[in-house]
Amino acid sequence: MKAGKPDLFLILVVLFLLTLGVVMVTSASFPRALSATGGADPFSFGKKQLFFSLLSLVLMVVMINFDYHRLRRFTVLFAVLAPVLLVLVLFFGAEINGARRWFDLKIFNFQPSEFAKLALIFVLAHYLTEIGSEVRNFSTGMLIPLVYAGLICGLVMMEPDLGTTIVIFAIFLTMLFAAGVRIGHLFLLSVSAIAAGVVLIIKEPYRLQRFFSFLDPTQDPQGAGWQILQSLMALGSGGIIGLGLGRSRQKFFYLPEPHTDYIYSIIGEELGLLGTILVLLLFLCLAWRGYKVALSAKDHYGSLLAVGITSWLVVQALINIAVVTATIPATGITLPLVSYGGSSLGLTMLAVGILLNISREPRESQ
Amino acid sequence: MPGLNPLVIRKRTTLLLLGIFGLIGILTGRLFYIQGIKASYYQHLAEDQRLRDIRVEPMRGTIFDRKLNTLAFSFETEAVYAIPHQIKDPQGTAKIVAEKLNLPEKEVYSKLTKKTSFVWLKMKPLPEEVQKIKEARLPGVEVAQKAQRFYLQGSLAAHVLGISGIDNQGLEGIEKYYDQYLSGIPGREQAEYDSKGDHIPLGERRFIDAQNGASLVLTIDQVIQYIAERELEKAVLENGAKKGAVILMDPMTGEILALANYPSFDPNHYAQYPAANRRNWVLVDQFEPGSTFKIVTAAAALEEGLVRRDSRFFDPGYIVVEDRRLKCWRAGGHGSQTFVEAVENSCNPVFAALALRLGQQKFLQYIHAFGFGQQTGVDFPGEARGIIPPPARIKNVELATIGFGQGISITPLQLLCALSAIANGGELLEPRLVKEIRTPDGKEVITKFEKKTIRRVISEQTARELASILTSVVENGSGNRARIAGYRVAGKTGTAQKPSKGGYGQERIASFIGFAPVENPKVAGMIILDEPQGPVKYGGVIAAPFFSSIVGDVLKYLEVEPSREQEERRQTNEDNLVAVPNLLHLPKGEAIQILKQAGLTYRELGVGEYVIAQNPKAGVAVEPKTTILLYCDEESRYRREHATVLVPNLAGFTPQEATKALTELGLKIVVNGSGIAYQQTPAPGTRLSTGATVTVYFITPDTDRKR
Repeated sequence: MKAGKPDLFLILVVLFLLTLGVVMVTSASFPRALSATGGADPFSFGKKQLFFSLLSLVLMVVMINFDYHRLRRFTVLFAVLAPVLLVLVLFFGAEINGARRWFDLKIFNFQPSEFAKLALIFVLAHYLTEIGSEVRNFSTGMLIPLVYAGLICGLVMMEPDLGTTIVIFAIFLTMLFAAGVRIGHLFLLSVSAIAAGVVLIIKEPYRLQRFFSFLDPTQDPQGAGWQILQSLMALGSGGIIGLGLGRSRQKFFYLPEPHTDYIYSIIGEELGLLGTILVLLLFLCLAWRGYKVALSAKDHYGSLLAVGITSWLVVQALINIAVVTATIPATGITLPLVSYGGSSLGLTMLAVGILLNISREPRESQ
Repeated sequence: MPGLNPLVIRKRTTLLLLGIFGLIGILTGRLFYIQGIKASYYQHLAEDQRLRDIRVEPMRGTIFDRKLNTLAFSFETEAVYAIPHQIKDPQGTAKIVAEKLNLPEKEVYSKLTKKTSFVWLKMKPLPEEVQKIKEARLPGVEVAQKAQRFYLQGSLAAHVLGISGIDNQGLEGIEKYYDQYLSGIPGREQAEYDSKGDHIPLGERRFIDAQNGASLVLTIDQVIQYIAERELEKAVLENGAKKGAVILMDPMTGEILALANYPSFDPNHYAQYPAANRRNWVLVDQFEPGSTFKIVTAAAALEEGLVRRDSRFFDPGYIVVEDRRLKCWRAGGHGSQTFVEAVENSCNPVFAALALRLGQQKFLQYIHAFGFGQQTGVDFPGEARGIIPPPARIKNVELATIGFGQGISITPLQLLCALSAIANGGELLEPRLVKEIRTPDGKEVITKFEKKTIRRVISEQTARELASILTSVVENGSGNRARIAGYRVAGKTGTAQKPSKGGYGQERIASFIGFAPVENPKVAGMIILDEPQGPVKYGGVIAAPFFSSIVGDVLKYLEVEPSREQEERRQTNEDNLVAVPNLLHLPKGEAIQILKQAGLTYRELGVGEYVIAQNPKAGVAVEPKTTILLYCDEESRYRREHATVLVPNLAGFTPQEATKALTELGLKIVVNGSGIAYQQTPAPGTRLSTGATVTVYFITPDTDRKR
């Protein structure tokens, strides 16, 4: 059977986000690059981002032309590799700010939790397709996947990395939901997840502080509310049309992570409400085309893969935007396809490639 | 096993999409709220945190003498400061800083460990020191632009100028009194800063310019001031006095032309001098005047018609008042004398009698009218009022003693103002130190202080009569050493006993007050020597000659026409003048021999065997028998080429002048910059072997006054 054409609209949306990312990372990282290189190269982060964007484009093109069904036989490998890497990173990862999240591979950093997201998507897509109508059964459809996802989430929490844990849990939830797990079971799961979240927040005092600082960041502008308040100042300073590209003031060491977690704030400051709404619309298009791919996939395995990948990208983006707009408590998480970061960009584009590959085989008419 | 239900997948995936739509809707609303409704609120918050105001210090005003010569000005230079809490290793840092800035390590360490956010380490570092400290890149040790005050003429008129602190605040003297004019108005610089405290590149910058301080034109003339200081120093040293002072005033306007105190200080390095040296005691302290006060008694008695110049008096050597016998200074008394002769003789019983004739009420009235017991109103901080005992405590005995200047406290400036009233025809004037307030560049006059008459005290006729009597004091009486060739001088001597424990002790205050030329007075002056230690302590003997040399030089400088009759006497004198020989580096005995041959007398100062300085200098024409001061020192027993010399203070010199001064001393110079010398190393007063090098830093005042 001859493969169809990939979703061109989706490709355009992704390219748009990727280009915006390179431009905004260059702008946002300018002061940091200046001080890091002693004034020698204000574009050092921008250049790296451009390089990784091009490299990840190659990865995407490769995956567009690689039949995703051929990856299904590696499911068990993925299922085992993900927790093993997550355990290893706890011991051999580079420690940054008290957390071990990356392997420092000199050329780039490799983040096992990024790989775990993709692995979980493959594992769940395979498992849920395999059990078929059993998804309605509590233990088969609910408990067994929960044990695996719980293992992954627990390991990520040990790094610790609450933001990624939430994203992984969201992927798990959306895939189970799409596969047809009983609403009652999912409700039960959600209640226990919220309870677990409360426990996690109370256990670590810094999370409690962050939690309350989101409610009123002006209360403690020098402490926990600092990042959030700086983010709001950036967005507010931008107004409707923004200060103009490159004209952000908040990137001058007021925002702690202007080119990674808080890139969206800089977009808001430099490009205004027009810029922030545009990004939201791009992710809306990504959601629409992504889920459309799921709906039109040839088989259930492809559908679930597409649901997982789309949910990952869109949910992570929405959490990031919700954090920087102080809509939910702060948690460190990047804006997919836009934030600075080599290895995560590579894996994201790999996933986008798979999504586009799924879009190439329209479902046979029923 | 049945597979997944495709319908459920479709339905649920669509639901997921709708859910995402909903969340995006919520976030869109949130963005509209933040970037639309609350935009200006967050914008202000952001501006508040990055826009910072920095005070821009105004430049302190320049102080000129009456001929617009610069005496004090400010310029921007680099200064080193520390931010103690940024210094992690105070011990190590102190060691490096001390080495680079040539400061004591202990002092630096104590500054670096102070609980303060900011501390100056060195205010006037040398350019090399700044360079070294910058290269050391010590965290928490910084270099800043700092306006500094520079007193161009060093100690010249130091007591008038006073001092100002490192933060542009006047602390003493004119600097304090006129601080509100001199200090100017600070400006502001508003600029955008990042959170580390650096400028944001291409960020906004707004300036509100500082308004520099106004400049002042003093009534002081630097040449007259210099003459006064030179002679005062001689007078104090020659007589071994504890201290001394000279005030010169234009009696027609009340403008003070010179005001000198000795010992003095250099306001550029005032901390190196004892605080007592900074006291301008001629107007902040009071003393018992003694005989000079007799001019007031005489003026009152003449005005009231109680005495005429030819009134006869008999002085048996004392006067009995109530149960007290008040003695004349001359044992045995002056016998029969006219009033003029009584003034010439400074006869105490006569003035006691006059005071009694005037009566308590009348006499006090005149004393107050002449301005005693009140501030003169001079524009100088901390002026004393003097003490006049309350009327109830002035019985006849007290009244009689006040008649000859005892039992009353006055400031020297009050007395000079009273004398000026006699000189100018009877009007008491307000003395002034500042003539004009001008724009910061000194070009335009903002405020001009005109002559201010306080009141008429005596009639013109009385004033003229008393002036003529006082002329007689100089020409025939106790003040004859105050004569000036070519001019008619009026004056009065004074030798006050210093009160000590319940009576009067051995110490004296010798003084002379006078004015010249009598026909058309240009200068009224006063010289006081406190606690002279020589065998003779009379004001007429030790103070009057210096009055003569000071006022004589000043009249010549002011190009005042000599009186004709006196001119001839002057001519004959000039033929006899002797040139002072050069005695430097000669053995003491040899120098004395040379002086004797030249018909000059000498006075030795110091303990060494060799002459290291002389006054007057070689080549100056002096009258025969003039005393030449020889400063001797042990250190120059070596031959001239191995001698050590004291490094002179070169402040205010041009490079040419400095080169000349150092070359004459056998020192080498390294010239740094151009304009006027403001800094040197080693410091003035350091002993160097001849052939050593002095580095002198020059600055051009005008260009440095701009920001």
